[in-house]
Amino acid sequence: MNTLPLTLLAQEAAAADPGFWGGPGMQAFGLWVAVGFTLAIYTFLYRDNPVFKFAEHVFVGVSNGYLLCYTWFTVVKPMLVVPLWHAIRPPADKPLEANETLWLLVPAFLSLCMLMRFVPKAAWMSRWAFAFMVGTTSGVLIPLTVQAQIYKQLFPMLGGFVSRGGDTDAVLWVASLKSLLILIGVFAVLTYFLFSVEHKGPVRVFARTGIVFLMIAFGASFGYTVMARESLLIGRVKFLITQAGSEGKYRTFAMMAVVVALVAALEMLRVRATPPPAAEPAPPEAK
Amino acid sequence: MSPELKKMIPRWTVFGIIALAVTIPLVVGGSTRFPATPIVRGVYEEIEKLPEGSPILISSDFDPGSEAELEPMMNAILAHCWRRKLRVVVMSLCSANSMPLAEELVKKAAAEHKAEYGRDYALMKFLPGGTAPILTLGQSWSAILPKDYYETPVADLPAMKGITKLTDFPYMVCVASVATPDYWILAGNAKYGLKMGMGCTAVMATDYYPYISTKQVSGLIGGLAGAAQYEALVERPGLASSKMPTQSVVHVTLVLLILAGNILHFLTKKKGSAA
Repeated sequence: MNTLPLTLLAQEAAAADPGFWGGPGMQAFGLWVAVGFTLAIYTFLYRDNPVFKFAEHVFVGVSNGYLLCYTWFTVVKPMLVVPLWHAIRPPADKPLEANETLWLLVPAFLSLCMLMRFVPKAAWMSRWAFAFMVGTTSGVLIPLTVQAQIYKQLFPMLGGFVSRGGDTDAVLWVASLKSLLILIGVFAVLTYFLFSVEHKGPVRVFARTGIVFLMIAFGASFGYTVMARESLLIGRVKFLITQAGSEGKYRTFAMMAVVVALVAALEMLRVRATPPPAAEPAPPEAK
Repeated sequence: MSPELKKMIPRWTVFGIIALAVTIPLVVGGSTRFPATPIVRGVYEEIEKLPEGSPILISSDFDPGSEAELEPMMNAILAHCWRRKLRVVVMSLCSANSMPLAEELVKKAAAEHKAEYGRDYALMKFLPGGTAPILTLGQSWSAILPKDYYETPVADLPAMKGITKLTDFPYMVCVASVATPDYWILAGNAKYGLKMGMGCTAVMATDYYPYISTKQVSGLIGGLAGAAQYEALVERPGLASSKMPTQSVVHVTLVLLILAGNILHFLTKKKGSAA
């Protein structure tokens, strides 16, 4: 769990009222909260429990509330509401520029159409906005996608896989081997997905090679995913360690005791409240 | 012992082993120097080629969820740019809360490198809309970004001197935890021929390898390992280098756990079939 939204909120509150919010007391309180919530999230490793649920709900609520306010104040208000307001009531110093912002009525109308999804009777209006988005995005992106993701990707393969370089224009064996491998990989994977031909004989061998390439790609992707998750874990543990020593006022140990005690108490209550399993009915006697 | 508890013990053992594998190297400390791969070197070499005083665009497209992975990368790139005395312009296409995070990271790095706002770097506003703002920036910068993050006209910022459109940047780096590199490749590189490099979370790295062999992207810094390699290139061991020993220990632990799991699985299977 990343507590940066909480930190950013605290910083903004500090900027608004440095006397109270920016004081060392509030900053220390922020760190206590961050340590406590990090540990509360990790209690999920034991099992789903009320302490985890509380931390999860607070995090989701704060993150969404923060993002909503920030989007309003940095995107919707300055990019749509204020220019439209200036178009209706032009400021004295820029009357001409204000009139040019009237075209913003179009995206404003389409945005309102999209929000009509929440009104069942007028939900059909959202289709206009979606149709506009799908149409313009396709128009803009299809040619660019063909150029960037098909043509430019095919070009190196079609241009021959023998790479040359250096002063003598000698063959670069490693680079050439790599290109050859990519070429074989592309054809083998495409053959694997070729369903109009029965996979037997040489086609089967080539399709099987395709599976090998796919498995290597999935393995590399999964390995990278594990590495990414490890990095996040390391980041959090590093934060907890910095708060565990005397410089961090032993916050980690103190909050760990509080969180463990809370989870244990709630778990005991859960076990007590759970009715004992009903006794199995005796098997019917054989006649 | 209840059967539920019996079931949980192997899980807890794995969690405990991983917790120790993460905590012990972090407590012991130290850092590792990683030799840079040609893929990471691709970004470094392009920045090295830029003449002193050139502008460089950094698209900071990540939010707090990926900070642990991308902050070291961002720090290393900024350090490199300011060491080369480049004018850094930071913007974001990711989400509204990516710019406050970028502001915090850039300001912290700027204080360390004595970079001055307006002269050595400038922060722009978050732009929603994916490829649309890139296409517009390619025609006119001031059409959608007439003012910076602090509402100062960009014309008043020395860091933005000579920038009228996207292609006035000789190079850009997209540091992302979402799909914004796709937008930059499609709209920035394919449409306007903008030279670019990228840094991303490890999860995303494999998706962008094909763009390197076609030279659409000059280089890629992937995850914490990529950041550690970049730190080694700029000779400034930082957050990534200090976290990499832990990452290596966890890797080895995971491999051993996978091997142990497989051996146990086959042994149990053999026992089951024998019975």
